[in-house]
Amino acid sequence: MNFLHLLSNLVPVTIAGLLLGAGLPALFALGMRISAGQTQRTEDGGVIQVRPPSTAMRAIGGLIFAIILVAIVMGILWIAKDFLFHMTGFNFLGLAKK
Amino acid sequence: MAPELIILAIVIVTALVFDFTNGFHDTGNAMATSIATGALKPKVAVALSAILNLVGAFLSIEVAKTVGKEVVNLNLTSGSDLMIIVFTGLVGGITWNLLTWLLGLPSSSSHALFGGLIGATIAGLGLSGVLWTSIVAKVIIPAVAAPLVAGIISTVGTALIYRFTRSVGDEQKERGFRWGQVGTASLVSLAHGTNDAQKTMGVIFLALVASSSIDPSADIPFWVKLTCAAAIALGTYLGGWRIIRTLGKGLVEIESPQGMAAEGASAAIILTSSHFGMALSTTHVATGSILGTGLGRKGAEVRWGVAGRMVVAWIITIPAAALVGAVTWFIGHMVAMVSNELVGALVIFALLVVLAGYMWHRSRQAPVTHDNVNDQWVEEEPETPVVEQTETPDQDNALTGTMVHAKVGEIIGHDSRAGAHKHFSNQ
Repeated sequence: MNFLHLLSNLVPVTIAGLLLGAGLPALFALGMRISAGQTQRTEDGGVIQVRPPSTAMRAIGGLIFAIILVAIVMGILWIAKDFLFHMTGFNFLGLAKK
Repeated sequence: MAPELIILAIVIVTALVFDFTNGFHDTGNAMATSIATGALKPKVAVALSAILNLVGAFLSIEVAKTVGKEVVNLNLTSGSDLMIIVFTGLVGGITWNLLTWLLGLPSSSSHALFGGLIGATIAGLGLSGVLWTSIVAKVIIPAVAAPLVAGIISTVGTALIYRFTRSVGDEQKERGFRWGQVGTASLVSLAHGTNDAQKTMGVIFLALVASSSIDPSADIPFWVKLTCAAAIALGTYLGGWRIIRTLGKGLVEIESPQGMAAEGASAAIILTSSHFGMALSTTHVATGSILGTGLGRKGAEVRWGVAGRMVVAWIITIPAAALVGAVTWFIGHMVAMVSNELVGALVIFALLVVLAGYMWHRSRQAPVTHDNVNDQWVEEEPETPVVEQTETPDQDNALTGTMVHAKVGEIIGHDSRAGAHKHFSNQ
């Protein structure tokens, strides 16, 4: 019973991990791809940028990076939620333990 | 001063020493990848990690007052008996932390602490003094789950990142992933501070309660938080270079995108898992993530020999630390029988100092520092005879000798000739 309960806890841990731990880094990579401009493979196997990204692509890339930044800030606020509530009375998303 | 107060002081100092070893033992979990890929200079990386650990230790006020309660049946013991159990348990944890550090093995500091406490409790109270169900649920199952979950997530992350950035310019990639690595590694450091410093705070709190110096329902005193935060930060800044080297260079050759994938997975798992009722060890998560990032990149080599040694170390961490904890308890008990408890505690403390000094001395014979932490990893061929190098190693070739003595290798069950020791070279 206890054992099964623990194993069932693994499912949300894995899902949250996949979304945040693999999803956010992948989103970051996608942001890099979008703002990469036009690139070309060189003979020695490297990749070089031949044309910088358009303003529109740059903006979309910037938006993606901003989303990631917000996610990180929320993450830190979440870690510090009890501390912040205790020190300042700020209750992040109402999650702090009173 | 009453003998009981002196014992309390010894317990607190020992707890802080444990916290310190916890710091340098775990620096690599956050920073090994950034150091290995060159995203951060070694010294900068450990300084950043130390500061974030310090901040993290203060951030969370939900302090783990439960650390002792999860292991020791507190209904069976109290007062100076409990203090001695906590003290000898800490000695077990510290000894195992130092030994694994000497061998460059990233083992879990929390497991070392739990193991030490379990051993000391069995010695002091018998098998029934240990809360076995709680240990299986809170320690054993998470330990098996952590590297698997982290490995899967990190493998997926790495594969996606490589797919998405295949046609991104090298220069842009380098810059992007440097930021990505520093950001994710910082999050892991912060998370480590919030998790691990609290365990020591909990242990000190338990000792204070045992000595009736504090009410069990009181808040953790500020000086306890301050000293624990400082101890773990100092330890982190010292940098466990031997472990950083194993994690950053030994397990997998890491490229920048892998560094970000691994730390991103670690940060997400460490921060969310406790929310879902499963507190995973930072070390197990970080190692699983780094392994996973080797699986996720096509053509990356995972050194399964190194991974296997780590797994062996993980499995024996609890029993080994427990053994040291138990033996220490008996030594203290014997000495206390012929004299008194204070003398017993002092003798054990002296033993700890001698042991720690010896292992530090051993580490100096093949030092790993911020200068050579990134040197190429050379795995010893099985048929190569072990080169003993005990006396005054030649400065230029200091890293070509065996890392530790055969004896130490045997303790964790490895044939000293079967590649249990790494040889470094200055290429």
